[in-house]
Amino acid sequence: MPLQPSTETSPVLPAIHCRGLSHGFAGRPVLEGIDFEIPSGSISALLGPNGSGKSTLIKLLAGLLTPLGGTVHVAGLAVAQGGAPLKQRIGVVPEGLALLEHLTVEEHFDVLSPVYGLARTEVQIRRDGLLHALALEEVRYLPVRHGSYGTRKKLALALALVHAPQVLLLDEPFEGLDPVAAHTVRQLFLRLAASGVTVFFTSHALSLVERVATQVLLLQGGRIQCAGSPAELAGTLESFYFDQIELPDPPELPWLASPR
Amino acid sequence: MARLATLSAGLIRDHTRGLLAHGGMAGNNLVLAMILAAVAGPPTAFLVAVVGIPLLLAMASEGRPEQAERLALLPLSNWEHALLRWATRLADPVVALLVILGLLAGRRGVAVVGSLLLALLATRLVSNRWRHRSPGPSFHLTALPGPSTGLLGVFLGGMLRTLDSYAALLVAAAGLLYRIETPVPHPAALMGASLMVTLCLSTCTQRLFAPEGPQGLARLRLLPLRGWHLLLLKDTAFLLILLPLVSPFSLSSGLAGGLVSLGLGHLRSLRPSGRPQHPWQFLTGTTMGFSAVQVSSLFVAGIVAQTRALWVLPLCLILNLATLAWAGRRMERPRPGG
Repeated sequence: MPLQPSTETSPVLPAIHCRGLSHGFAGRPVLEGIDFEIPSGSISALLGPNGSGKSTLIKLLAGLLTPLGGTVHVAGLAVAQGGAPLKQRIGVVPEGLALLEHLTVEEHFDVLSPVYGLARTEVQIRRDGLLHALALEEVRYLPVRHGSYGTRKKLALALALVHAPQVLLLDEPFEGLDPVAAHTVRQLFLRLAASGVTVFFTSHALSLVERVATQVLLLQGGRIQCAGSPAELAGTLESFYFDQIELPDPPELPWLASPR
Repeated sequence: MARLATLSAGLIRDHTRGLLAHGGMAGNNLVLAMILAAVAGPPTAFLVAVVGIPLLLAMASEGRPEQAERLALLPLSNWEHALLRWATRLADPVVALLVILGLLAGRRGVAVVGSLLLALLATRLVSNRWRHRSPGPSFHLTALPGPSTGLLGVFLGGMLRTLDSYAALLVAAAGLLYRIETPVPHPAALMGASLMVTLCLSTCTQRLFAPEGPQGLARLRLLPLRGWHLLLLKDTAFLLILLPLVSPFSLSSGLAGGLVSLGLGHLRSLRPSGRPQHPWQFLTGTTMGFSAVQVSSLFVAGIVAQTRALWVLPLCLILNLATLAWAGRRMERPRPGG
């Protein structure tokens, strides 16, 4: 039985706490009155069809967009006043990956990590560890603009992790990854959650979500339609998803049946 | 043939819109200065020759890689590809402008235009092959102390991947030649050289984060740094390029002009551009109106600083710091929706 998103306020703020969150573009509402809480140390997946507002929600949680209404707290800080302290506590893989195209993979760590207050030797240790863990060692001297989408995605993920954040906000972390890399990332999520890090990610890879997420939220029509653990949702996640989403009939395009 | 005509017309339309669109290269301060110089007539012919012609060539050699990618997907034969490539090159609005000017100027004009067209085609051939391969200069300042010196190196490298910096270098080289060749250089000429160098670089101040692109700006906004800190690093990178170039001429004029450009540029530099900024291009300005205000302000500040540096420079610094604080706060705030 799907759970309805919580509407009560906890005495201690959870890792992510949204109340009445709304947003829109050009007068078109994208998110309307979003309420949910994500406990610390959980792995939560945000599902929903294309254009349902998943990436917008990630940007709102990361403080990259101002909500039109409502409040957001992430890692114990109000996002509206978060600024630098908030960014110190969160790791983000945004929609466009936000990479500096003219730097190499390695230079990204050397230039950006010291900003988080890490000493040079510490940066080197963490950089080498992440490059090894995500199989990026062979491309460490490659300018990012020449990297494959998978390389860029893994680098963005490594940059989100390098300062050991409390909360990870990841937009489609599995998209573009090969099965081995996806497995590594999944294992990484499990280890991070075990050590108290909160992982909140969007995805369309339902089978992966089913294996890794402790909580699933379904976003549709600008609202959280239901939330709960995959075990609490009826049947497999895929059947549950298709039960919730209205499936359109594919239109008849007879000319496609006679290729030239 | 009809489909090729339709296609080439579409490509030319796309290219022309790219050149003239709001946020296109038309907003570059140097373009504005060249238009004014061309209108002013013979006294500014030297300036037009030194900067205007390379500017025109760079404008016309701006390829549209997305066009090439799309064309490669179309079912066209090799000769059709070649025909389209040459048709779009020759029907470029900059080429058309050159031809009209040449015809108006008579027989000598036709010869000049012919030479320019050859130079233009050569520039295109070279730039299309080189522009997207060359990474440009990079500065590894990560070895220096301080958590953000690495970023300063990135910002310096970014500025030196724009053609604006090289136009400034060209003007500085011409000015240096004048300074060496002239036994007693006129102070007004030195001030003029200093301000022209500043003008060449000034579009960078409107688009401080253009070299990193929108994704680069998004990455910088994710860092735990105050907005003013990032802007100060950008200003430092700008001044590290400007000051050595103006120091042989008039340091006070260049510094005053630079501070005013940055001060006004802070107000605009967080706005997204209408088109992507590729390396080895002139920077895209914001609007012609803003360029006019910025260029006139930097000239006024630079001219007054030549004689009254003691009170003009602190004023320029105050303007710079005030807008730095304002834009820094704005940079920290999440973007509004809509």
